[in-house]
Amino acid sequence: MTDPYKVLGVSPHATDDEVKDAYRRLARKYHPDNYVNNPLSDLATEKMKEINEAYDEIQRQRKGSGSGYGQQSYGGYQQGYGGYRQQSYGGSGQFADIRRLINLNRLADAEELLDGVASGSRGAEWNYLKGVVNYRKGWLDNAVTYLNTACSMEPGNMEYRQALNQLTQRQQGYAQAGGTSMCEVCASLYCANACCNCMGGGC
Amino acid sequence: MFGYVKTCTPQLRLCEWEAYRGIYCGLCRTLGRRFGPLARLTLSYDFTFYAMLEMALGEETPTFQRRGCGVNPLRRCLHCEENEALSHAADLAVLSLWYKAEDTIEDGGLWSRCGGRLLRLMLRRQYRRVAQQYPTVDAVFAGEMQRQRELEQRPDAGLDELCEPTAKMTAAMLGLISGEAGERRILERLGYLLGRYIYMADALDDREKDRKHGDFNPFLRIESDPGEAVRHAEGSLLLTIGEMGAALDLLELRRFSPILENIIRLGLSQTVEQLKLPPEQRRKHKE
Repeated sequence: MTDPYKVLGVSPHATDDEVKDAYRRLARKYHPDNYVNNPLSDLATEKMKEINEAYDEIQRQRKGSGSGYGQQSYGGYQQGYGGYRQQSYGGSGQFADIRRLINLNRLADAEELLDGVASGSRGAEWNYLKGVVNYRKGWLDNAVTYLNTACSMEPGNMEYRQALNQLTQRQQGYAQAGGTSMCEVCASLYCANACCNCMGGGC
Repeated sequence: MFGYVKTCTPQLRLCEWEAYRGIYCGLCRTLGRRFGPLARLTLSYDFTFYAMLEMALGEETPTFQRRGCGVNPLRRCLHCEENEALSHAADLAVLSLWYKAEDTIEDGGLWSRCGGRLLRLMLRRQYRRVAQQYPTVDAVFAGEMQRQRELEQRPDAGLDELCEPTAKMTAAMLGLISGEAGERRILERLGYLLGRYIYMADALDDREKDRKHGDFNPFLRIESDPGEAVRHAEGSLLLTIGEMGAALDLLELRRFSPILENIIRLGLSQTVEQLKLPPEQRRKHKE
């Protein structure tokens, strides 16, 4: 097994709190909630498992050596994941096959079946699945449009809402990160930098 | 289509900035050594990103050395020594230039068509060498360039569809970086999204020019009002950048991770902020 400390990116001499912080930071990053419907979700799950195992291993080692500190916060994340799995396999009978194809990443087949559905029976779930297929393909604009439709047709459905929120929250996050306030602060630095470069100081 | 993948420089630490510049200068030198002095003109931040990403994932530790600059003899700066990642990036830069020239010949004005032909004449030998080495990427480029032209003729093509050729080309290039199946999938997703970003950033950048000349522009086709076109472009670009972050998180970066994070999480959205402005108001800083 790989070095659990390396997995968490901390030194073997780190305090229990530091280990816990590192674990929490990574668990937040790879949390299944961040990879709902994502074609890379299996890789995120693997990562999450690795981190969980590393954290458990460290807890075990430290308990054994008598440091006597071993609070486990790991089960919670695992369970959280199980919940989504079930949800994404479930759903009404009509679309069960399509959901299965999506989970197998057979997007072209799933899309063909979806396009074959008569326009009269294209309800909220149809729009949701269409959104998921587009999202996995990387067709993000279409994905948002379909997910929006799904959410407006069935506002109470958490599965649809969550899929849409994941996309729009990230979008807004980046809008702030690169927003004008930061740029304004840095503008003067830019100018100074440009001057330095002119004089041949830079590279 | 080049130069939209940049760092948010004020947020880099000085040592990170030096490493980034070192890779940039190293790529310039590699281009010169592999393809002759003229090839240095293809140097771009985009392929610097490519080389850095490959180095970040590779086993080999890159080395840096202070050398005289090949372009400005008065300067000495840190160069990343030639390695596999830099050679790959240089090869792919030449391949992209070849196809960009083809594109110019197809739909540029009279003078740019002549320029394109001249460029192709000079690049022919180098292109053959590179195409032989990366036959799959070359095939993807040839097929997708053709598809791009067809899509632009079709009035019903949506934004996602129009982005796809560039996205697929970039995905093919990033996919080359790793042979490991999982890592490759992450790189291809990242590449796909990066290609989307580049296509849309380029369209946003060219909107005024395209409007004046009556040329094709995806955002002007979707939105008749220019202000709406910019808002639409911004929304779609940020959506794409957001998903890139999720893919980047899954990569096991051995080095340069703060620089790559800086580019994806700050640099790209900063470029979008700049492109939103009318061309005359953009900051023309030298980096």
